[in-house]
Amino acid sequence: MAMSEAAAKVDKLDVLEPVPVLVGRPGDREINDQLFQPVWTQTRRTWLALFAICVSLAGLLFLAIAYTVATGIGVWGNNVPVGWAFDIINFVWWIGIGHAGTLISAILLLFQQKWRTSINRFAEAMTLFAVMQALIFPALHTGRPWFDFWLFPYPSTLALWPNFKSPLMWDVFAVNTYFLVSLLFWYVGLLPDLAALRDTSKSRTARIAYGIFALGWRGSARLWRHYRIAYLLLAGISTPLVLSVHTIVSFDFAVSVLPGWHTTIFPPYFVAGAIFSGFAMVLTLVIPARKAFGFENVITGKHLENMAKVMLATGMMVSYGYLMEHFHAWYGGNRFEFDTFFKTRMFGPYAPVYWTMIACNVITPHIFWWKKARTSLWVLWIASILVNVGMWTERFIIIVTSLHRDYLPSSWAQYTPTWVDWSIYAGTIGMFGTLFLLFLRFVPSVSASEVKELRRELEHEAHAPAAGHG
Amino acid sequence: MNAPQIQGGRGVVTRAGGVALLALAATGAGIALDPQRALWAYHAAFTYWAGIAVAALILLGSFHATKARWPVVLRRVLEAIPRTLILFLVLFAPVALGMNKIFAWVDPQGSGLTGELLHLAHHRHAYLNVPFFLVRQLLYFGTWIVVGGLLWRWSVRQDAEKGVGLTVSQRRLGTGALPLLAITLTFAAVDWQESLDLHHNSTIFGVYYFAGSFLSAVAVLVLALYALRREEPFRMLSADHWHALGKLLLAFTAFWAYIAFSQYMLIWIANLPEEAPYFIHRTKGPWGAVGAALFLLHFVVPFFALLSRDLKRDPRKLAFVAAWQLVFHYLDIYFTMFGGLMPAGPQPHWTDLTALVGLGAAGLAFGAWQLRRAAPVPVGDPYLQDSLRYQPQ
Amino acid sequence: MKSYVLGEFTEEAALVAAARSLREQGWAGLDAHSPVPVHGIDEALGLERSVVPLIALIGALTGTVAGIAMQWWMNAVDYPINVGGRALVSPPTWVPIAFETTVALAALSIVFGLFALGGFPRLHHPVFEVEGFRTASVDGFWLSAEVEPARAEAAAEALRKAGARNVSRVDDEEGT
Repeated sequence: MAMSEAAAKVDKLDVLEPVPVLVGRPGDREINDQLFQPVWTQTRRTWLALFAICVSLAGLLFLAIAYTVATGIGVWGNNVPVGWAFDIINFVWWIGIGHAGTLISAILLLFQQKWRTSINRFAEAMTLFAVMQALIFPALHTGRPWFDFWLFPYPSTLALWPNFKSPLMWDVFAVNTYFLVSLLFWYVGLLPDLAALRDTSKSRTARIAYGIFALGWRGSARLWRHYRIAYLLLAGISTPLVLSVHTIVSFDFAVSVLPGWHTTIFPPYFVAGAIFSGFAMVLTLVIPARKAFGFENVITGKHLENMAKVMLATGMMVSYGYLMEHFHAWYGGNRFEFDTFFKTRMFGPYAPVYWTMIACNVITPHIFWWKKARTSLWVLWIASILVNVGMWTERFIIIVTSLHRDYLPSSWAQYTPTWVDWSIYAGTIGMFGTLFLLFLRFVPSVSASEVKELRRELEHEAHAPAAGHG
Repeated sequence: MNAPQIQGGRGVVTRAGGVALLALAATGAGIALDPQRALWAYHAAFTYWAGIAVAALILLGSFHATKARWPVVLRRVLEAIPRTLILFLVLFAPVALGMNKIFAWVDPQGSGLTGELLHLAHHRHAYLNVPFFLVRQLLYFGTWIVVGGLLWRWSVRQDAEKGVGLTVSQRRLGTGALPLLAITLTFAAVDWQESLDLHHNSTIFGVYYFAGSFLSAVAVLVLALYALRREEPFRMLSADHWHALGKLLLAFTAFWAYIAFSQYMLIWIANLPEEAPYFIHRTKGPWGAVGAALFLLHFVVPFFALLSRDLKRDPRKLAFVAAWQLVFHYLDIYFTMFGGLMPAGPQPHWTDLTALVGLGAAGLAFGAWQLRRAAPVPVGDPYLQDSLRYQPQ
Repeated sequence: MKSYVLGEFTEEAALVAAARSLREQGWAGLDAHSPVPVHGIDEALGLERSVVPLIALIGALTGTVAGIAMQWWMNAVDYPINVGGRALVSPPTWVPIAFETTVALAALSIVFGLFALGGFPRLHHPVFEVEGFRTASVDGFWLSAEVEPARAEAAAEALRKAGARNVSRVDDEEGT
């Protein structure tokens, strides 16, 4: 087929899917030039300004951590009976955010969703950095972080082993595995682009630096065949892994006998919530980034719309979880459960947080039934922030309200976070931002090699002959 | 293209109809002889088949919601499955009429409930009472029949009208109905199964019933296509289509196990007096053996079998695994329902078989009859060509 | 000592055709280099199915067995811990960690298996001596042959005949 004819066929848009996943059909070199541009150009002022803000916040993180470690975790607001508070809220929140990255890169790959290609690296980087923030909290919450290695089963002079019946140990394995596998998956996906960075570099320093990370990749056909299957297999094992991680996080609560914590819906409901908040975070980050880099042709309106739809679906799954919890709190006939859900949470001292959660998580996603909302950048961006807030308040409600009033009124108490709690939380956001900005600066945030493949697939589709059953 | 109507189906309709009449008549006789036991058997079979029909509707809605193109060629067959819900509404009559024999909460004192269970029955009276129960059933079936009926009607109308307008309508309804379907199926699970055992109080249970039913709906679809594979339009099904269906079976086999493990592990480890009894007699003695069999034969064996790419691409082998999972889903329903009603161990009754076969054959006859009334593939769908040349990388 | 002979193609189809043609002429040690996987190159070069799935399976099974054995031996045999009166051998509690060790070992074996198959890290390879080879990761499609130095000229000729441009030769002094 002649090129012009092919182009004409490509341009004949599908009436039901008017927004393409890739605008135009750029050549291989054009793709490289465009996507590597943020790496090869001079550092921009806006980048520097944002970087300065994030680094300052990260500095606050280190100060607050130093203060906590030097003084003890008594400087935090949590105390009996609210023994878990900001640290666990933020741990769950950050881990949950990470889940969308794995979902986008692994599950959508298995489902052969073409819209994953342009956002997967972005989302995976988000996963890695989010999991790093998450790890800070339990590490500090042990109280004596210099003994954290006791969590690992090693033949110690104490002659004892960790208790594997504890969900906290399950967490250690789940989160570390998750970090490890996400890192490997991300790095393996990066290899072809690292080689391309090495080969398009202008300076010797850049060539050596990227060359080391590229490990000597030569795009060899002998290796590509192993590489493709390895990448698919990593996606295949990441899919159940991502479900298992938030499932195990939910077990931290659900294996207990606390009202509002022990309930069987927790595993799938936590997973849905994690994906919900993770997609919100991807949108929060991707909308400004694509604008700043002029990537609107590779991260199109279609990507944003699809992410909005995923948020709508997972938001409704979260609402389903709330509905089941509330229904069974009554149906089960346990008055402590009933009081937790219908009195403490709805009308207790933290009621404003509860109703914020309902507004953000239950009501907000429903605006995405309307195409207008899914295609408006401002609506998308604000809604994504509301969902991030909503999912944070959800963890606050689960953790704090269940702990502060359980069975005996004599052991009820209030919880208030201290300035150290807030500093660490704000600091992790800064740390996350710092890492993310470094990523945007030094690594192509959209995979060039995969966009090249995507273009080939789209061309192949346009050329495919009709099946002949006219 | 003009696909011919299915030729061979008439025999299926008459034979399955005949079997259904005989088996249901036998079940009726069983109800006369041993009302409670036979009604339980009937109710279990009803829960099994109706759940599959609703799950098929959810599968159809999901295909529309995700704008999936590959399943267009098999969509008409899938659309015929939820049509049977019209029949199942009629066949719900024995359950509605025999409620006082099936559900202990209808007449707590008369059923011999005492102590804590009696207290629970009273506590739940606002939800578990006969009029509200019946109203809910009408709401569930109303939702399912209307959604399934509209999707069917628009799809069939598109055969003649062509164009994309009806695709848009189907996608909108299919997507928008999913939350309603999820909620109605969940409360149906509470009404039909969870309320049988007053010790059963599990927030995940709706998802559990959905998982098993959905897996079985995929299995029924595989078997229906396998039966039709020599008919003209279905010869065009490629190994890739079977592969995709096999992946769905694999995914939902794992999903069922995940949900089952979550429910079991959390109730077992917390060991609370108000919910642990549910698993106490289901993990000991004969029921314990049934539970172990479910774990091994409903999850481990089919899961590892389905990992094989070659198996998923071979229609005969895939149909075998589908039939296998369908059988074990019934065992799962049996385990869930009778584990509480007969704590000492399963006591099979001949009406278990007649009810299962009767309702299944009735559904088959009705579905096959529906399928014969329209083109066997959605010939007016703009994506039929895409579906036929489905060839993933 | 070994020699590498390289040639560049602009089109994937040309690369596949050239690879097939050279292999049919009896050239061994052929490899293709491309920025994206090339459709049909495996058949053209006569490559077999990848062993990575097997490596992954072995890693996964090792992980499962190790995960279960570790928890059983440490908590039920070597240092029995009674937790809330639950049986020392409580398989439901092993599932989460055994699952995680399965995934972790599978992933590690996939990635390090892949690196081993590629001979990674190998930061310097003789083909990098060719300046033009830089396009292999951007938009160039290269075919390379690893040959005895005596046959290098013949290989270069074969490549040129197959339509390659920028045909170059590198001699590897270290003789790897």
